[in-house]
Amino acid sequence: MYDQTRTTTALLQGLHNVENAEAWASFYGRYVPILIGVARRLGLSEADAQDAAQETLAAFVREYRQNKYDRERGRLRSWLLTILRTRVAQQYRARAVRKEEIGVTRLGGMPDERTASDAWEAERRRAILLQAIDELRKVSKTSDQSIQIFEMLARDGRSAPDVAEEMGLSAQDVYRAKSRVAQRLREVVTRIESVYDEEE
Amino acid sequence: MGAPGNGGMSDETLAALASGELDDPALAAVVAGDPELSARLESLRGEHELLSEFGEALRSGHDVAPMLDEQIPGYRLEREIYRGGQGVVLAAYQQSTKRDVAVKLMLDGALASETDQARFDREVELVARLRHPNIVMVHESGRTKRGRRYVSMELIDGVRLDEACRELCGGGAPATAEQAAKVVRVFVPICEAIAYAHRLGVIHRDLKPGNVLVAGDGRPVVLDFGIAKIAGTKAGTTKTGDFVGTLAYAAPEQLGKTPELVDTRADVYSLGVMLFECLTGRRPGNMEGMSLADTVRAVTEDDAPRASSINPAVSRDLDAILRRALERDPGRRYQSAHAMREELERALIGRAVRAREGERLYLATRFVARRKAPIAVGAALIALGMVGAWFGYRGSIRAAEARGAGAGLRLALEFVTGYEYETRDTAAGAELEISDRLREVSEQVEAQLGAYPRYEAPVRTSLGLAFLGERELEDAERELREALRLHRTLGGGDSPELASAMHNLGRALWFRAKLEEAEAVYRDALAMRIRLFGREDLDVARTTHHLAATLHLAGDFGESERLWHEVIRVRRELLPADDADIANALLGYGHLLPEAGRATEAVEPLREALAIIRSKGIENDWRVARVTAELGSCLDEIGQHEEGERLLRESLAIKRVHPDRRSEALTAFQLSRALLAGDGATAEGRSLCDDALGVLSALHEADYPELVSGRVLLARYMLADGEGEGALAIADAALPALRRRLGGEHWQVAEAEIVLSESLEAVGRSDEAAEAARRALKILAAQRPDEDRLVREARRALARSSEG
Repeated sequence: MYDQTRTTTALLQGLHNVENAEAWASFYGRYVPILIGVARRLGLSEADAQDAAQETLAAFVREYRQNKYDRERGRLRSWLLTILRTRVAQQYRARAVRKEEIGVTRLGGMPDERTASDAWEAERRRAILLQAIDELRKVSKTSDQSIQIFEMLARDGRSAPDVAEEMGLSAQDVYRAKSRVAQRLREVVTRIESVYDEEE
Repeated sequence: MGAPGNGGMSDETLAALASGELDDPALAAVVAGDPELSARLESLRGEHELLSEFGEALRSGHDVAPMLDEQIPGYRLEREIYRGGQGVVLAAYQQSTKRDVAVKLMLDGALASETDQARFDREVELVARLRHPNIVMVHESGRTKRGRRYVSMELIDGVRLDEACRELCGGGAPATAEQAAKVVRVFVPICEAIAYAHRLGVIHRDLKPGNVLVAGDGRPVVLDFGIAKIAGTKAGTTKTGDFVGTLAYAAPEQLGKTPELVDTRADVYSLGVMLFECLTGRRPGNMEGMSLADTVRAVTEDDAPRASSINPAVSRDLDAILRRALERDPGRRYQSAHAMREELERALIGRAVRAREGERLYLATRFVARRKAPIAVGAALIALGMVGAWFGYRGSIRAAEARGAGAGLRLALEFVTGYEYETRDTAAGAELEISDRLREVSEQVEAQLGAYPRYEAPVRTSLGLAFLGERELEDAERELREALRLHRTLGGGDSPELASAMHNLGRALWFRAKLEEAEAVYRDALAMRIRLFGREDLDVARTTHHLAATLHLAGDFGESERLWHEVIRVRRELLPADDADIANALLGYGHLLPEAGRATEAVEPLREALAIIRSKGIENDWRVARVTAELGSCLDEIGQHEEGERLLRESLAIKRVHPDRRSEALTAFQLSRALLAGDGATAEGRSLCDDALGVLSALHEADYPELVSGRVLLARYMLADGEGEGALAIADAALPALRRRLGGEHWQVAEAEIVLSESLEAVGRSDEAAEAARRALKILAAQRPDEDRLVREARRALARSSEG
C-alpha cells in the first residue's frame, strides 16, 4: 500500500531525490491507475493503456528531474495528460500502420484535451472511491457485514428490504448499516481528496 | 411504503423520498414542515448520492473487461474510441461494405429491463431512418456473439463541439463579434439537423457538446440520437460524474416530476445551453463544483444570466435568442429547432430577431437599419426633428425643414451608413454604442413620426407583420389597422401599398376570426389589385386565395369554390407546375369540397398537392401532415377506410412531433371519426376523441364549432357503447351552439341532428327521433348528393325511428 497521506506537493518534492524510492512508489501508486483509466477511456486496450501510463510517468519523472516541470506552465495534471495524449496518439498511429497493411484508411488523431481532462476527473474520482472502500475493508473498524450490505446496495443496486431478507436482518438494520458505512466513507474520501492539493 | 405515523416517518419512506423513487407532494410537505425530518431527509439524500457514486465506481471496475474481445459477425473490431457511462464505442471495419464504422457496445446494466430493451430497439429503428448530413448515420443494431447489444454507425473523425468552437476563436471564447458569428454559423446546421429529426418524430433528449462532433471539413455531426436517454434512464437519475455533465444541458422539465412530458422543446433548451457555453466559455448555470442536488436545483429554479454580461462580444440579438431558448417554461421557448435556426440566421445577417419583438423600439431600429435606402429620407426628417428639438427650434416643421435640411440629412445618412459599417466590421463594444444611439433615435420615431404618415405607415406595417408572425393577434390588428388608416390619409387613390395594407389587415382579421370584416377588406384589396395589375397576377391570386379561404370558413361554399378555381388557374399559368403555391391552392380547394358533400372530387386535387409537396423532397413535415389529414379524411368519407386510416395515422404521427396541439387535436378527431366509420367504436378511437377534446377545451371557448363537433363525435361513441343518456345530453347542448356559430343550414348542424335522433331513439323517444332525422335530411337535401354518407345516415335514423 502506497502512501496516502502525503500531499501531491510533498510527493513531487520527494521525487527530486533519485534515491527516494518511496516517493516514486507513492507517486506511481497514486497516478498509474488514473492514467490507465484515462488511456482506456481514450480507446487503448488494457495492455496498451498500461504501457502508455508507465511510459507517461517515466517520461514525466525524467523531465521533472531535469527541472523541466514548470508550475507556471500548467499543473501536474495537464502536464501528465499532455504526455499521455502524445502516447495515445502514437498508439493510434501504430494501429493505423497495421491497418494500412491490409489496405484500410486511417482515422483519428490526437485525442482532444477536453475529453482527456474529463476522463481524468472521472478516473481520479473513481480511484479515490475505490481506495476509500478498500481502506474501509482493510483498516477500519467497520464490520464486514456492514460493508457487504453497502456493496449489495451500491454495486448491485438492490433494495433495502431485499438485502434485509437475504441477510436475515430487519430493514431498519440495513438502513443503519448503510448510514454507518456512508458516513465512514465520506470521511475517508474527504481525507484522500485533500492530498490531491492545488499542485495537481 | 411505510405510512407516516403521528408525525413520525419510517426510514424506508424517507429513503424512498431521498432517492426520488417516491414522489409524493403530501409527504414531502410533511417532511418540510418538520425540521428533524428535513434534516434526516437531507442526510439521506447525501447518502443516496454517495451510494450511487460508489455503485458506479464499483461497477465500472467490472466493466473494464476488454470489449475488443467481443465478436460481431461481419465486423472486425479495431480499437476503442470512447468509453462512457453506458457503453463503449469501438472503431470497426465492416467487411461486407468495406467501410470503417463506429460500433457502440452497451454496457451490462445500461438496458436493465425488457421494456428498456424494447424501447432501445424501437428507437434505433427510428434513428436509422434519419438521413441528414449533420446527423451520424446509424446502420444497424444487433447483438454480439456474447449477447451484448450494439449499434453500428458512420465513423466520424472530428472534435467535440466545444473544442471546435474554441479552435475557431483562437483557443477560448469568442473575443469579437466576428468570432461569435463563426460559432453561430456552426450552430445553424446543428439546429437544422435537430429540426429534421423532430419532423421525423425523433427527439434527441441528451444533446451536449460531447454528442456533437465537428469533422475536419467543418461539418458538425450530431451523435447518439434518442439512444442515450433510454439506456440508463433508470440508473441515470442517480448517477453522478457523467451524469452531472449531462444534467447541465437538460431542460428543466427533463429533471422535473414528469419527464415523460418532455418534447422537442427540450432539445431547443439543450441547444441554448450549448450555444451559451460556446459563446461565453461557461454554462448558464455554471455547475462546476456543485453537488448533484444543487445542480438539479440550479437547473430547475435559476434563470440564466445574460450571455453578454459574461462575454461582451455577444450581441444583444444573441442574448435575446439565448434567453428565449433557455426559457424555463417550454411554452415560452422557441417552439422548434427550426425557429431557433431562423433566428440565428436573422442575427447573422442583422435582421430583426423575433426574440426581441416585445421590444417595440428595437423593431423600429431594425426597420431603420434594414430599409436604409428608402428610409434614409424619413430618417433625415426624424433627425431633423431631433436637431430641432435639441436646439430648441420648436417652430413650424416647414421652418425647421428649411433651416436644417442640409445638416439633418447629413446626420441621418451618416447615422444609417455608419450603423451598417459598424455592425459588419467592428467589435461588439462599438456596435453596442451605435445600437444604443439607434434606440434613442427610435424613441424619437414614436414621438416625431406622427406628423409624417408616409414614413410612419411602413413602420406600422412592419410592426404589425412582425406581431402577426408571432401570433400576437391583437397587437397585429391594431398596428395593421393604423397602417391602413395612415395609407388612406395619404390620398391619391389606388396604389400597390394601399392594396397591400388592406390585404395585410385582412390576414390579421382572419386570424382573429372576424370573418365578415376580413371578407370586406379582402374584397376591397382584390378589386384594387385587379385594377392595378389585371387578373393574371400573383398578388391578385394571393388575395383571391385568402378571400376563398375566408368565404369557405364563413360557409359560402359556392363563391369560395369559384375563387379556388381562379387561383389555381392563374397560378398554373404563371408558375411552374410543381410550385408550392399551386399545392396550397389545391389543398384549399380539396379542403372545401368534402364540406359540400363532394369528398370524391376532393381526392384528385389533394393527391396532386401531396405529389407536388413530396416532389420537393419534403417528407414528414407539417405541410405533408396537412394534406395527408385532409386526403385521409376524404378517402375515409368515401369508404376507402384502409388508406384513409393509414394517411390519418401518418398525419397524426407528424403532428405529434410539432408543438401545435390544436392541429394535432383536429387530426385526432379526423382519425377517431375514420376509425368509428371503419372499425366501429374501438377504445382507441374513443380515447383519441377524449384526448383531443381535452386539448381543445383548454384552447377555446365552450361553443367553438370544432370543439362542439368533437363532442358530437364523442356522443357517437357513447351511443355505440350503450350510453344513450349521455349522448342525448351532448347532442342537445351541441345543436344550439352549432346553430348560433355556423347558422342553421350547416352540415355540422345536420350531423348533430342525426346524433340527436339516434340518441332519442336509444332512450325510447322515437317520435322526437324521427323529427330530428327529418330536420337533418331537410338541411342535407339542399346541399348533398343522395349517396353522401350523412344523407344515408340521416335516412337510416329516420327509418329506425319510424319503425320504433
